[in-house]
Amino acid sequence: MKNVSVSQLKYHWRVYLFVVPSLCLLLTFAYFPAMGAIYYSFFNWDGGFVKEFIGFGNYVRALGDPYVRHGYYVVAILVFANLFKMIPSIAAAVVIHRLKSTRSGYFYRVLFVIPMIIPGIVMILIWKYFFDPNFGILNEFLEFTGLMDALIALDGAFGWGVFLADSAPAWLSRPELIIPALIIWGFPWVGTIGVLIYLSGLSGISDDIYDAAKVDGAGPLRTFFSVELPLILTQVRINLILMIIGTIKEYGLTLVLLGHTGGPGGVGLVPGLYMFRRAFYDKETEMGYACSLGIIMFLIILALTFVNQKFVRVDK
Amino acid sequence: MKTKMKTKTGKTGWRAISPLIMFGLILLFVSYGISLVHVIRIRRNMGDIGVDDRIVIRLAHFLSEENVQSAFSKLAKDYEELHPDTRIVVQSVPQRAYQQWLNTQQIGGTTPDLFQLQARGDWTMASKFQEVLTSQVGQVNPYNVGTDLEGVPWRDTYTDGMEGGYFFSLLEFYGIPMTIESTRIFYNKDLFRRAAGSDRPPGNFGEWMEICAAIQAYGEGRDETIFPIAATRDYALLSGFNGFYVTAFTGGLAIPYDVNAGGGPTTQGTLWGFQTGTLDFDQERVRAAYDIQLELAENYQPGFMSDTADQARFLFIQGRAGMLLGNTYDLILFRDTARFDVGVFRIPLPDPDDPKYGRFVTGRIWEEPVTKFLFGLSKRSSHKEIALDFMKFATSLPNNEWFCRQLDWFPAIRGAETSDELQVFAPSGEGVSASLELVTGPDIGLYFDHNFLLFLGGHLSFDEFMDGLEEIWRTKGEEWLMVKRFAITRQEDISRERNLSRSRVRVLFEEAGEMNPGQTMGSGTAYQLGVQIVQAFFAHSFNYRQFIHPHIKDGTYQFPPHSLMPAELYPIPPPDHVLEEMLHRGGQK
Amino acid sequence: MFKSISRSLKNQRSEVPKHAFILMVLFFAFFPLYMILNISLKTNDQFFNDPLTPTFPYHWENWVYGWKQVSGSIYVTIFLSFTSTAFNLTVSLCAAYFFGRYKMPGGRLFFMLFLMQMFIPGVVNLIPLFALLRELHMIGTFAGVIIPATAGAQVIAIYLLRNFIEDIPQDLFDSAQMDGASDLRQIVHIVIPMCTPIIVTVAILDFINHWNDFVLPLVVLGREELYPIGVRLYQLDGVNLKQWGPMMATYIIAAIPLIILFIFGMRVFVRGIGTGAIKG
Repeated sequence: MKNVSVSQLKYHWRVYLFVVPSLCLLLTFAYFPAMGAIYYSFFNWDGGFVKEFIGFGNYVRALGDPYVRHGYYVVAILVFANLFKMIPSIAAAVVIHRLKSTRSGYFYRVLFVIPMIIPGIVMILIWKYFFDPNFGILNEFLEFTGLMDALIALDGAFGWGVFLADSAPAWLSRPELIIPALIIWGFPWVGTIGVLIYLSGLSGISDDIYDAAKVDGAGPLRTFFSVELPLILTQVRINLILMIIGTIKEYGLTLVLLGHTGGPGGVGLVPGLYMFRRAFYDKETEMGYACSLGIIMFLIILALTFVNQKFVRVDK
Repeated sequence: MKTKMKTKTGKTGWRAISPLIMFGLILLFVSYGISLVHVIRIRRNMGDIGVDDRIVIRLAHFLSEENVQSAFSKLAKDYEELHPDTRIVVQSVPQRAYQQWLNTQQIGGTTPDLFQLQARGDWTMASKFQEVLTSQVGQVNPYNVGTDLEGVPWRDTYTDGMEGGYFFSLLEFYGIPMTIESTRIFYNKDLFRRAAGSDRPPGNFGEWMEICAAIQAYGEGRDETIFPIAATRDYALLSGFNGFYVTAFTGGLAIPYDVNAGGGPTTQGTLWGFQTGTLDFDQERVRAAYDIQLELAENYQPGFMSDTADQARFLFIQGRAGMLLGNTYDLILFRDTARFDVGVFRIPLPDPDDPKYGRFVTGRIWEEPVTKFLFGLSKRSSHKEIALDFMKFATSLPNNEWFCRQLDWFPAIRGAETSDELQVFAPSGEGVSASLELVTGPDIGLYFDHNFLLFLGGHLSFDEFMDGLEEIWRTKGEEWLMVKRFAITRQEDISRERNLSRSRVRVLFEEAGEMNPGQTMGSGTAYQLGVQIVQAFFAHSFNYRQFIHPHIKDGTYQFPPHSLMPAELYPIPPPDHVLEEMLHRGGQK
Repeated sequence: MFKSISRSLKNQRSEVPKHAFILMVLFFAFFPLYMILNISLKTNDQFFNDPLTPTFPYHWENWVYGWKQVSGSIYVTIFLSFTSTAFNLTVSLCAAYFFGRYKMPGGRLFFMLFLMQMFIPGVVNLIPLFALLRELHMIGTFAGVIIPATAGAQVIAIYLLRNFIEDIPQDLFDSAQMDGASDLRQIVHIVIPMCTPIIVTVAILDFINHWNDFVLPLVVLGREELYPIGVRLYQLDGVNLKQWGPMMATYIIAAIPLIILFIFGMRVFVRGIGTGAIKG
């Protein structure tokens, strides 16, 4: 990397030309519409030509809106759950990496890449089908593996009233089960891209370190924490940020699984979905409000990323 | 210094690429080349003047079934034969994306010439993007030559005078209808026979519940999962059970809140009733309407709260559910795909001597016998005359009859014959209306969407539900109904008023013809007086629709005892003889 | 000798749990794929009664239906995806060169701008974006799909490419500079050859994303003839009664070009991701 200071600019100003097209695209097609959204968030807007200025009215309303609060509460739970859902990808990557034979390693890598061609919407539809209590297979699977009995026993202990003997729980219809459904979907939570990215980070580890660890008598788990984890920590951190951003913005999943209302009781009304509904179902009066919800979401993401940058430090 | 990439084999430059990858790259470039050629060819064919110089009329709708598309294609082809210089392109956009797609098309100025209207009377979109059709619908439909309807003005060829396409709030015709919709219950005749002994549909609610119980027993006896009724989570208010039973039980109760005599309560009226305490949400009639649905819900499949319409239909088609709520568009679908006999019956009401609900029934509900499946004409179409001509073609007597027969729809044109079994879809033009509407507006709607399903599922009691509903009305109702809605629509009102004054006179008085701004007719005539009355009503934002609404025949109108408007602002009703004259003319339309 | 045999046996034994774990994970990851293939050959009846196991007779007419749905849009989709990817790569490569080779004043700020773009929720942007496209007369044009799509996709590409470019030894650049090579020549002769794996990787990822995209094409193009496959797939889902078999068959057929792409690009792709693509 060549450092160029301000004084040297007159020799190197042409370099800026290389970033100009990208920047123009970005500003025009990403930021300019966003400015529009900021502008309209101060109005009652119907998406067309009618608007009425109300200042910060939309923001005040958003702060007191129970749906907004509930939405972010759900998102917080999902973020926490998604933290755990990152583990299988890391585990899979580590295990593949530790394989002795590189041929099987390559073979498995290829196999992991193949499911990537399934469009996301198809995955969600298939899971929606799984959840169906009448002819979906999730309930059958639970019974087959005996997990259903475990759940019924837990239910008896905790008194949830959801898992009862002889009845198939309706995952997306019972308000209590909606959030668990949103968490367990996508089992086994192994994302192909994630695995490949972790593998790339692990590939730099030489065998000597492993031998040294073995000499120290480190078991598989300890080896992981002291050898592999530190090297992929940057990737983990990046994935963490992307996960948080994605979870907050998410609405496609809940839209397909639960519909535009967010399910019975509105349990699944995540902020992205709420914004979508306000923008496209109530648009005659609520488009400006939807814009303000979007701005709030942006600010929250910005704040979280800032926190992440400051406090989650990684040393190379 | 130059570096070249070296592979393991030591080759450099392009020879370094393995033959496999080389082949792949060649394949890639070749396929891209073909696509490029193809795309350029498509671009050149686009636009209204195509390669063959034909005029292209585009029509968009959101019914995705194959048979709808093929019926339209046949109509298009027939029309093209008559008019070889035209090409009709029919496009189907999935309903989920239709509104968004249409919005963006309209904002972008590339609307199709004809498009299906989703919400009748959506005057915000209509006045902005749709062409007024009032003068056209008075013309004769030339494609009715040789039939009984020869020489009859287009709108009079409809069974309802094309009222379905008439937007009341704008007092103009904006849509061209093609069929009549109604909501009925479809049932599995085979299952009925096996479970209940006969395939006769239930006559009242009691019989209906008996059949449901029989079906459930049947299923348990054979250890199969069979549900009496397949329901969905889209508990749409007007066309579902909720709208039906609330209307049946509270019919007529809304008359004091019908401030503009439109036949139903106005939102301001309901809000006023709620705020002054005269309208009790919690009254026993409403409670009964909700209770009856709770009883009904025991027959639904588990998980109905998250099932979409297609999942419910799937259950029905597979014979796992005995009954399904559907509309006229579904009949042909079930006929084609189900392996059992499909029958139809109207939603049953409780008998008057039913012990639980009998006393609440105010009567059979009034179903608007208006024509639906409306198509609007885009203001920006470059071939408006031709587009309308196609619609006239499509809605001529022989074509409408053929079209509806193809799709098992109920025809919209007078004299079109339909099969006996479709008679059950005929809307009942007599019945109660003016029932309470407790759910309007986005916030109240959201509350209802969430909590009504919880109520049906037994998670929420009626009292809890009502308490929440009243709370929402208290907090959000006023804000939305009074403040926001008027603020947004104020601008629309202003432009709307301007357009209305001309057309109003024309509809009332045939001899008015076209009026130019500033033009006056001879003073002292009934016409002149009528115009003055209209303008007086206008000045006080009073909607005088009842004088031309063909369904309201009553000559006098009693103002509600209390109203949101101060008494001084009430326009003085016109003298009786003028009123009678206006009604007389209105009834003729 | 026995020691080496027992050690190799021990090695093999210690491998077994690893293989078992991976295979188990792969089983679950492949299960949806199996379901799609399975369902695509069934009628609705077969699907309803027996969703998990293959049922005979196979209904290949579902695939014929799928092909009919897709074949009309294939050219458009290839065109859109390819052009978008090419455009994206060009623009992103230039920008990544800017960020990776030089540290210019204001460079950090620019990079922040790029990263922050990810934070903007897309839903509300749709209508202002559309109004903007209308002003620019880009509605109904392919450019109206390609250019905004690139604006969003370039962020990841720039990020990945920048990392790689940073790793190219400075001397290479310096000596080329001394030889009088302009920046453009440096890109062509140094960056591209050295970063080929990652470039191909980014290209493949981008291509897949564009292939399945439907929001922008649906809204911008508006005409039946112009819709790419993604929109067709979305349209399929709006039917009143889902025909699961034909629908799944359509998804598979729509994915076949991607599969072909993978077969050819697999080696480079896997290696590209695998050779330290992402670093802090």
